[in-house]
Amino acid sequence: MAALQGYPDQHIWIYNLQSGTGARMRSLPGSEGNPVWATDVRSVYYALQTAEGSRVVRQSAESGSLPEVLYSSSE
Amino acid sequence: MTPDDAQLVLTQVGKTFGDPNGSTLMRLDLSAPPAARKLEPLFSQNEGANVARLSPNGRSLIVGRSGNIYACRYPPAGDSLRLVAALAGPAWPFFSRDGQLLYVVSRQALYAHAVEASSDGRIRVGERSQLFRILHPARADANLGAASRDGKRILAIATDDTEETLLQVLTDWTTLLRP
Repeated sequence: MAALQGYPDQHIWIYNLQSGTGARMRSLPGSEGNPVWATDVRSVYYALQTAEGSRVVRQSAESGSLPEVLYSSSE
Repeated sequence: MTPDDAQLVLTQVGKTFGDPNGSTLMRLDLSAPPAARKLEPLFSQNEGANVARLSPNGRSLIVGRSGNIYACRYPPAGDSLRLVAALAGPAWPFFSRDGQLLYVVSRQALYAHAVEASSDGRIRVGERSQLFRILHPARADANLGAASRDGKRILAIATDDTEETLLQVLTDWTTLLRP
């Protein structure tokens, strides 16, 4: 399960509902939002709001994986 | 996200947070080279939305805007959104894993509509039935529910405390600020 936690900046946590354990995804600076799972359920797409603008990011749900910025918009 | 992970449908929010009229439904084509990727409006006219969901087969789009739920084929191919259900309060729709049910969290309850889909993605929804009562906290404003992959369970953001369902208004909030 992917869940958003934190205030004012939100971050994505990945939880294993069978073991009850969870960990925060390694992230870029900014506030994350609206996570959706990829079809193969191995990675998560999400929005990232930064001071420079918005990003769309893909990141593997495996621990320690690095985020990949798919799209950037400047404001 | 389309089933082939090639397109992402999203709402681009405007300057007024939470205002569906200030948001625009967009599509991001991830199959394009990174430098060529751009957000494209899904509709020629601005169709604001609080939430957008693709069906599991990627052929239908459901849009929640305030208490109304709209649908159209995906990609829209010139179609406009069509009202398929109306609720008395804000609604957050999501599909069952097989796409045969449309779940809706609204007004402290979880509802289900049967979905009739044609092969081209046009859908109709049946009568609404209430499955469970759910108190969802006022601070939760998106992704209020999701269906598990086996389709047997639903995960929802809920609370036992009715106080958390209320929107609280602070007056003279500036007096609470620290220097």
